[in-house]
Amino acid sequence: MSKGEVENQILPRTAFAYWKQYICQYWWVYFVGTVTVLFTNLMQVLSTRSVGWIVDYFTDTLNKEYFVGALKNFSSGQTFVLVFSIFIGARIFLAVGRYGWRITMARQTHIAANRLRLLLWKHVRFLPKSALDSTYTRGHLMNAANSDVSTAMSIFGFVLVGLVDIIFLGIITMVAMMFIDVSLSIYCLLAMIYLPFIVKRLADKEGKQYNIAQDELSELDDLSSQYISTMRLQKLTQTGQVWLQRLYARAEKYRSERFKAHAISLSFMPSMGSAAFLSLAVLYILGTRAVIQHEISIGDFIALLGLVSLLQDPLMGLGFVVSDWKRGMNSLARLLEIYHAPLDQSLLTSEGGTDELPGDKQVMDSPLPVLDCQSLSVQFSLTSKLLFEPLSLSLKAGERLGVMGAVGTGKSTLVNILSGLNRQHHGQVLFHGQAFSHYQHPILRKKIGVVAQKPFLFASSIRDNLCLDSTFSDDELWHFLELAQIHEDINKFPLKLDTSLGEWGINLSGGQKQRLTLARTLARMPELLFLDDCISAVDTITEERILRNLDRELKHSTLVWVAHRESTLKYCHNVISLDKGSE
Amino acid sequence: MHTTNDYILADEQDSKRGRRYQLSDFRSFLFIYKYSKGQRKGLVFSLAVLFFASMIGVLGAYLTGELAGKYLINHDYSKIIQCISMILLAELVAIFAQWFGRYQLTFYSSNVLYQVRQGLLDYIQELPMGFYDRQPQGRIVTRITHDVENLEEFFTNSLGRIINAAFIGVSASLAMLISSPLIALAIIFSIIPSFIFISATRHYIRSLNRDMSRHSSVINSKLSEFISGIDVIRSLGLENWSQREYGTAVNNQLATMMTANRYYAITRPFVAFLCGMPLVILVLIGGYQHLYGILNIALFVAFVRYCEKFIGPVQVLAWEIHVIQKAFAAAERISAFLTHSTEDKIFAEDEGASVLQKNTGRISGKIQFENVDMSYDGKENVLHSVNFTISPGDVIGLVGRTGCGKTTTISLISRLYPFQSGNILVDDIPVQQYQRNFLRSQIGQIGQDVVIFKGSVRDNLDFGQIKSSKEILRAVEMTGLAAILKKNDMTLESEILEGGSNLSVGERQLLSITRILLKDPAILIMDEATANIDPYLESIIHQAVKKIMHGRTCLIIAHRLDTLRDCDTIFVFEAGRLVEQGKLNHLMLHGEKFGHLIKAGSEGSLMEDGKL
Repeated sequence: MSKGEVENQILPRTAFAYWKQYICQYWWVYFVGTVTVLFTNLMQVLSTRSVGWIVDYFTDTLNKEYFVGALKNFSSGQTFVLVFSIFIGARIFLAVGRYGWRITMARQTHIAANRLRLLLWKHVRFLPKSALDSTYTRGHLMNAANSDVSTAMSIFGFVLVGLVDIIFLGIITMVAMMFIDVSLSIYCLLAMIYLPFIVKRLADKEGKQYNIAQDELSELDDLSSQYISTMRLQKLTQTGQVWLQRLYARAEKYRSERFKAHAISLSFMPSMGSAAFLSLAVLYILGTRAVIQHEISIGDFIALLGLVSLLQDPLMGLGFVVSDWKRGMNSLARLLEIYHAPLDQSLLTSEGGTDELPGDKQVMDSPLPVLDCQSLSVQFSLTSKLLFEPLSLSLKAGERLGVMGAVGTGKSTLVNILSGLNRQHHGQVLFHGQAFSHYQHPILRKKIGVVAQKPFLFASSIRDNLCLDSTFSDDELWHFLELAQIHEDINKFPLKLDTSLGEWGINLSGGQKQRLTLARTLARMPELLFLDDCISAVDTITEERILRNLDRELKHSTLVWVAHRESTLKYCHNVISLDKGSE
Repeated sequence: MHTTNDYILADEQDSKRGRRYQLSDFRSFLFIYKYSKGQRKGLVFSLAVLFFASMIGVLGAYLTGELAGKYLINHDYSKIIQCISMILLAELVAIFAQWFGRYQLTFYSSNVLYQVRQGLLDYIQELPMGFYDRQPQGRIVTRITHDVENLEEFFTNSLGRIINAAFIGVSASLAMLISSPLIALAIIFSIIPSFIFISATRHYIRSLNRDMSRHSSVINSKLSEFISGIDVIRSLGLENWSQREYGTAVNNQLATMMTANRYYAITRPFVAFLCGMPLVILVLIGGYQHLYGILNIALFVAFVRYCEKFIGPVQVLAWEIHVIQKAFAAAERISAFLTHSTEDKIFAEDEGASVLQKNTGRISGKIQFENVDMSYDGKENVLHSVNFTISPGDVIGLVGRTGCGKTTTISLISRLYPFQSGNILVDDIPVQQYQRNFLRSQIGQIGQDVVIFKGSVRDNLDFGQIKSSKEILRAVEMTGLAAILKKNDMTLESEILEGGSNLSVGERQLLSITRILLKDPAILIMDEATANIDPYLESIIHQAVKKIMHGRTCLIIAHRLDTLRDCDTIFVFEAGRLVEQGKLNHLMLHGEKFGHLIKAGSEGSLMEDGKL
């Protein structure tokens, strides 16, 4: 399995089906894991039970029946050695057993989480823009990647360990207790039978409250970041105190929500304590009577004390397991909903599409226009009003088209349609004589470049931002940086091309970011290039240089230039205006 | 959310580079004491309750020993009943006292942490602007988010468990020492190997935890970045690349998880085994004593129960060690952060023995710069002997290329930074002699960024709630905000969403202009940027700006030629110097540098809409 790939098997629809498929796929891990948990439980009970035998041995009341006659001929010293060996052996094997389930079931939990994480981006990258804007927003997806994955992963391991623990530890402990005294054991169990119900209720409440507190914390953190990023403005506008009051209020809200969550966690103490207390009360009252009446030995009594506290664990565990299982399944279902959301088919490399495009030479000589559109129009989804008048245009190789229009006239929408990124339109758009759907997504993106108005850069080095999935030599990179007139700025950074960007690196100005994103697209040498008002934040002298560079260097490329100012469009052969009433 | 993860990531790297945090270094926690005001009594009380609970718990163990060793063997019925009721009572009291103590402790420590947050937020407000220019923003955010959270995790969660366990451990040891010093010592010594083991592995565990959280951060920031950059990913066809990048991050995390899992698989059971040593030693001693007939069975049974209680704290320590370590590191970073100089300190040097500290009245708006030099880093000057005088009510346009010194000049008037030499006078008084907040309150700023809060329109216009409704309504009418509100079916009491998301860019702008009108500053600073505002609002805003400019000294960072037409004087900046100044007509004809700027923007033909 190569990095980043997930094996392509059919993804089950329901959470339970997914879970079942995964468990079956790794059934041997789960089998070995179950055996080790079982073994661990046995050793745990044995080690507790053997303390009772030791006490019995000390009080000379050791019931030799347990050891099937083997002890009959043993001297006192030999008996002690045997009982002690059982005790120490159980503790050693206990450690071995614990090691065993950690390297099987716990390991498998992490692998399950890994797969769920890989699947996430594998699907999200192809979701339609509309879905990303409305349903699967960034908050939703980040939540899925963090809290849902970590909740869901537990049902692939930890919850199972808990389940096996409960069943076997519970049964074995009960059996061990029954061997000592049947009725006493039943009374003890009855005294704490309500434990799983309380635990489940508390665990559900606890989980919910922690989520609430966590959301409050994210809000507080977001507000804190804003607080710091607007410090200059606060000083200038004297709004610091207002910010502080809001932050105090948020912090107090978070404090109280978080405290509520802690309070629920702490309320496990009295509820579980009281169950332990009740069973102890039963044991002390009935148990001592049994000792006095010689029904059980003092060692048995001590062992019962230990076993009763051992029995608490599976009973509590039952509550936790039910609660975790429910939450895990819910999280998994939420994840699967994302994994099954319909994808944007135009982005997928389907069988029908072609990778074939004419070479540069052919393009220049071809009579076919690079881009041709007939009566193109877009409707607002709600009002069904047209965004702009139906449009027809045709672009030959090497041609430069200018698009003008005020804010809100649909310039960016037009760019997205003409570049094949948005296909929600009326009318026809042909690229080299064929509809966009005729081509594969990767080849279109290779041939058509779009530089957006809002620059977006990744938080990595300048070099990585330029190269992305391709490789360029330093000379090539500097060439494109010079075309975009950002080479001088970068030359001033001590680390030059290796300067890292983002919050922890250098903070580029808006104009620098725009020029860098321009260089990034130029480096890909697109045949058809859309420049969507992409140097609006650059000062006029630099802007002029960039315009001249582009006109000179991109002779063979077809350019579509969008601006809300005419001065930017002086190298264009034709200019169309999207302003209402003027054509 | 995504950014926080980046900070954590980089911060972890910072601490890797820095020295290792030592568990013994308790000094870094001292700053918390300062923030525990008002909570100390409660904290002491809860500790007392916890200690009481642990003593009662030990009493129960002691009585169990007595019961098994003396009364049960001797069939002393009245004693048995007495003893059992005592044991049960002790258990019950211990359970509830423990719960109550933990509850109280959590409550008071959550208050302390709130006060730490508050203190940090206050402190941030007092830091000088220069501090924010030098420090990556992420680092400051990390201090008040991630680091405080680590402290919080420790104080409100682990601390109670640790203290509780420690008290029980101490009580159990005391009980053992009193009943049989020799056996007690043997048992106490037998726990030492587990301590040594925990201590020896703590650095590795810390680095494991750091690696795990670093890898999670990388995944989160990658995912978040890809979601934000989905348009770029689509337009460049980076879908497969992004999955490879993300997949690498996810698989790297898995590799670390596997390493950690293998490590814990060995160490956790081993620690548990070592923690069982006291019990093993006890059984051996018991066997030895039995051999020589000197075993006291009551003592033995009591010791079995003591041992269980005594082992607890060590196991808690083993489980919580990484939380403790994180808290130490966080405490150290926060206390180091609190040593940065505040704005008061920085400016105190600059102000020297200034006595006036003008802080009342209204200034007229005269501004003078006399040979002002300014450098942010003390090496490279960004302003070189700048000289100018602005009369009250003048409208000044500032032009020049990016980084020429326009913004710095304006920042100095607001006293965001100290300057190295020369004089800046406002109303003929050096700026150093003004109280900073008063001076800033006399300056209004209109820019692209508008501070908008979640709250009513009224709250957003008048933070201090000092203006009457009449005044507010008049201002709203004057700027034209009233018409816009009416159009949107809003009133002064209408709710504005977080960051003003239910208003357009232009509407937010108009709101901030109205706000300034209410504030009535003597000096107005406008950073007229190429914001995307629809034409209808643009003209309203234009009118509003004209109205509020009246009677105030205005400094406009201009980008358009037609803005300059309204200016009395234009300052042309180049590389930190004021190279030309004069009226527009004069500069058009004679200004060499000015002409250069104009020419680049418009090629002579597009005067109406040229950029500057």
